[in-house]
Amino acid sequence: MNLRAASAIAMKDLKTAFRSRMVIVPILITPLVMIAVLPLALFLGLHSTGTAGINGLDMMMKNFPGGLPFADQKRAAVFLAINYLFPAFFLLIPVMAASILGAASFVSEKEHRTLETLFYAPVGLREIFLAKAVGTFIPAYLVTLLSFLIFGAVVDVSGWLMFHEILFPNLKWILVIAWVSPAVTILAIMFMVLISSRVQTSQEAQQMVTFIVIPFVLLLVGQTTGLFMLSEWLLLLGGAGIFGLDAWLFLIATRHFIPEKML
Amino acid sequence: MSVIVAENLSRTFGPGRYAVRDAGFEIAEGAVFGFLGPNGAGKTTTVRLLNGILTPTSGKASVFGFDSVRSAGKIHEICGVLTETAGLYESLSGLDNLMFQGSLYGLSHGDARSRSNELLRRFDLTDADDKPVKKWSTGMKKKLALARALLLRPKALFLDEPTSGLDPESASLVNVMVARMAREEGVTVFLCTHQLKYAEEICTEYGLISRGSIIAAGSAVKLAEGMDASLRLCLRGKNLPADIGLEEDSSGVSRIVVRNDAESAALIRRAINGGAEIYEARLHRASLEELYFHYQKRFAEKTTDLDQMLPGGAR
Repeated sequence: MNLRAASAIAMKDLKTAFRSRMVIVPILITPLVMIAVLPLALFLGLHSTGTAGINGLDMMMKNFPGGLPFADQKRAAVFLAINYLFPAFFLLIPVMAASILGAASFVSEKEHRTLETLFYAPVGLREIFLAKAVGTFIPAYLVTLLSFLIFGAVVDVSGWLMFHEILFPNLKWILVIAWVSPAVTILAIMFMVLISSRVQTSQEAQQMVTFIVIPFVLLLVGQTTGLFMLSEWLLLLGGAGIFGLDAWLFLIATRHFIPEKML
Repeated sequence: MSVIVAENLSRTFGPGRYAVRDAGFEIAEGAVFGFLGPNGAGKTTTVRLLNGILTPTSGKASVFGFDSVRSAGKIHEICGVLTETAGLYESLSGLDNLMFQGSLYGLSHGDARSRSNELLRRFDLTDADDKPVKKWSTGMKKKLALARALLLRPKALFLDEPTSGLDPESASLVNVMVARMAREEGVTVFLCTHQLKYAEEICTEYGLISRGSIIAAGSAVKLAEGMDASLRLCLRGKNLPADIGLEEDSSGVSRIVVRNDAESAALIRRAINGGAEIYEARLHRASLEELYFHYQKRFAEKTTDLDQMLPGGAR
C-alpha cells in the first residue's frame, strides 16, 4: 500500500470538499437542526405547553407498546424522544454526511474528469478506492461524533434543568454511535461509489441519495406509529446486518471502480 | 530502439464496434511521433490502451518494455500524460495541483515544491499560481496540464492536443519546448493532434489513424513515397516548353510531377535549351497537410468501396 499517495488523495479530497459551499452548508446545517434546534424545541415546548403541543410525541405516547415507564407526562415524553425518536433522526446524520462527502469524492472527480488523472498516476486502483473511501469515512464519522457530543450537551443541560437528572448517554446511544453509525456511514459511501459508476454529475448523484434515506425515514415512521420500536437488540442486530451489507457492497464496489466503468 | 510498441492492438466497445482496430506501430526512443486523425478516430483510446487505463480486446502494447496490462503501474511511473479527458482540480490552485501530483508520485514536499515552482516559472504561470484553477483562462489551464505531465521528468510523454486552445505565442512555446525535450533529453513523445502545422514543425515520425485503423505510418519521406505525385517541379518563366506536360495555374506558376532530383534537373535543362527564360524553379514536396488528406481520402474511398461490396454495410 502506497500510504503516502493514499493520504495525499484523502487530504486532497478533504481540501476540495471543504472549499465547496455545496458540501459544507448541508453538512453543517442539517446536523445542527437535528441535534440542537429539535431537542431545544422539545424541551422548550414541554416547558411551556406540556405534551399536547408536540404531535408526533402524542401519537408515540398513545401507541407505545406495553405502556410508558413514567407517570409524569413530561418525563415520559422526554424518555420517548431520547430513546426512540432521536436515535432514528440521528442515523440520518452519518447517511447525509457520508453521501455528500462521498459524492464530492467519487462523483465530482468523475464529473470534472480528474479521475482519469488519478488513473494515470502510479497508484493502484484499490489504493485509490481505499484512500477515497477512508478519506470520506473519517470526516463523515467526525461530523457524527461531534453531533453526538453537542446533542449530549443540549439534552443533559436541559434535562438537568427540568428533571435534575442526567439523561444521556445510555447503552442505546452508545450502540447508535459506536455500532450502527459506522455501519451506515460505510453503507452510504459504498452506495455512492456504485452510483458514481452510473451517473455523470453530482446533481444526479444527489437525487439518488433519496433511495438510501428512505429506510431511515421508514424507521422514523415506525417509531412514531409504534409499529416497531428501537430496542438495544434491534440496534445490535440491525448494525450487524448493515455491516454484512457493507461487506457485500464493498466487493461489488471494488469491481465497479475500474477505468472501464468510471471513465 | 523502439520504446513504444503496439502489435495488432484492438479495442471494441460493444460487439463489432471498434474504437481501435489492429493498430501496429513502433516508436524509437527520442522520436516525436505525430499521431494524426480526425476527432473520434481513436487517438485517445490508443493513449489509454498504451497506458493500461483500458485493456485491449486483442493484441498488445508495451512502453519501455513494460506490458501495458501487466505492468501499467511501471508505465505510469515513467510517463507523463496530458489528455483532454484528464482534468485539473479546479478548486485547487496551480501550485496545489502540481504538489498533489508530486505526492502521488512519491516526491518529498520540498522537491515537489521546488520542481512545481520551476515549471510554473517556465510556463509563465507564477502570477496566478495561488488562485483556484477555475479562475484561469483555457490557455493557462492547458499550460498547467502540460507542466503537470512534465513534473516527474518523464521518459515518455503522451500529449493529446497540447496546443489546442492556446494563443499562437503559447502554442509556439509549447512546440519549441516539446521539440527541445526530445532532442536534448531524449524524451519520447507521442503527440496526438489535428493541428498539422505544429505537428509538421516538430514530429520526426507519423502515424495516421482513421476510424480506429492505422492507415499510414513512418517518416514524412516515407509517407511521401507512398503517395503518387508527392514531388512537383514548379517553374515560373517565359517560353516554357509546351510538350513536357506542364500545367500552369492562375498565378503563372507551372507544375509537373517528378520522381526525383535528377529528373527535375533534366527538365530544367531541357527547358533552358529550348529557349525558355526561367525566373524561378523549385521542388515542392507534399506538405504534411497534403499527405494527411491524401491518405485519409484514399482510406475513405477504400472503405466506401468495401461498404458497397458487402450488402448491408457489414464490415
